[in-house]
Amino acid sequence: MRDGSLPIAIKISLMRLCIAFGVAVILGTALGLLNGTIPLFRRTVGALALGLQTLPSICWLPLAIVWFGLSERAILFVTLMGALLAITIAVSDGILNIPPLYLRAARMMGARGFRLYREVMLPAAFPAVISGAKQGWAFAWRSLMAGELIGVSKGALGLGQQLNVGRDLNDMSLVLAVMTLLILIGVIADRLIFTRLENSVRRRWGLAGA
Amino acid sequence: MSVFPTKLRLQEITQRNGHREAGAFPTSTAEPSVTKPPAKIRLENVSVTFPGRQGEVSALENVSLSIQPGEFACLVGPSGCGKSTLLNIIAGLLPTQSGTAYKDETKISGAGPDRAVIFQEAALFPWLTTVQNVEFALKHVRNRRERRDRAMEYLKMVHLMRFASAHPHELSGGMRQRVAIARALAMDPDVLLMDEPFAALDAQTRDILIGEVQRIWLETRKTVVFVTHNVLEAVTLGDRVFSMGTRPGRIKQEILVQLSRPRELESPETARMAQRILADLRDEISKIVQEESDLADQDKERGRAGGPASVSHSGAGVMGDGI
Repeated sequence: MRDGSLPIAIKISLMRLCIAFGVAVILGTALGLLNGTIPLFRRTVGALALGLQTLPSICWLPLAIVWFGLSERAILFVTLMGALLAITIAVSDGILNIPPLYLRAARMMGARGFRLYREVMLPAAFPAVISGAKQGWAFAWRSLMAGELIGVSKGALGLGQQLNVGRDLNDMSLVLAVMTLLILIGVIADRLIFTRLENSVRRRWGLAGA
Repeated sequence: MSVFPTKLRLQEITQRNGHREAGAFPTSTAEPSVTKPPAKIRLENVSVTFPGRQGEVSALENVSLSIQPGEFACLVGPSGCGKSTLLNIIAGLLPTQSGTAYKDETKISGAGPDRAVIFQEAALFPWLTTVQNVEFALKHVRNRRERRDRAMEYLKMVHLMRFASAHPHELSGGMRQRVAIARALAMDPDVLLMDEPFAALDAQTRDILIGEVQRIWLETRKTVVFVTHNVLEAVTLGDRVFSMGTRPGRIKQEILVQLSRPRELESPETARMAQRILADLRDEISKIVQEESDLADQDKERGRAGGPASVSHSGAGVMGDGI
């Protein structure tokens, strides 16, 4: 394992994660906003989304393979689906829990339409968006690994596929090395990105314990 | 000291029962009036009911009033008399169920920046700094530098320049309420609506803020509608005080306060005037206390556990710290 395949695998997996997660954040926030503000949407599409959330995201893989073939896109799709609903639900909960007083104050100051979304609802729901993103990231990471493990063995090898290679070659050191890396990456992302972001928001809002 | 008796004039203008022939002038003031300008705010037979635990509760019944441009009007009454409801209707945050509300003789159909509201809690946005909160009301100013300068000016008016970059949670309750006042002024509204703005503050802070509101009003001469349960507050600030009764919510009396400004909270003139209004409101308060203890008795008869304790004690707080 001195051929440098692990750093490459890390890079590939993280790239996949970032793409899928990025799309999930954008789509999830948009869907969450719709779900939080439009009752009709909430009662129809929203109820469906809640149902789909109970489906383990890896169960999307067969569908993804039929749609996209054994390709990069199938993995991305599974990863996206892993994060999307968690983010959608967190954002819409965040919107629904905005104190009505903020909205009345905003309306009274003449904020409506797009400005109301961008300058009041999104910032007010931001703490919820962050915890949604944190959760979504964890889901995405799991889904990605599952997708890489089960799904695709051709093409660029990510960490999940390296795990498979280790199994095939009966190379326990590779398997354990990859597992350690997976844990490390998970912990680092959580500590360095999400917990920091969360703390800074909590401090700014005055939510941090005295 | 001999000056004040001439200044002290209490005029009970109309004793109203909510029944008035249609088409009559909204206020028949006993003032030696010149030709009056059109009313800034006018309510015509406004009624509102809310669903309650024993059927519909009438929050407001046939309320009519009019407020002149530049006037400081106070609505005072015990809790449950619908004074906040009335304010929300003027703000356009609540629709009228029957009757009509007008601003500048135009029907009020929604909230708008021409009517700034100062809520009981400051309602500042926690994700913005103090100055950004004020800037939110100045979004029509395109130039960023100018917007910042204007916001700072309003902060200066409430003596909070030093806290421009603090977040709301770093400010005291009184400071937050002052930011809310600065924000409302920054909207440069036609009408300033204040909904028990000092009810959640301690007594000293309240006294200071009453002084500041009076000073700012003397500087700006905005039309103000000020809701409070504190009679002394109302008399100190208002040109005209509407005392309200409850069950159903209605305006009982309209009192013209003709004391010279600036007024002091503790001055004998304001105290005397407040006493008279309070004496009148006392009937209303005892009515509420009576009603609530009746309800408690009913609960007891039904053997509902926990009911009496949670209902009957609230009568004591009905008029809060009103005098």
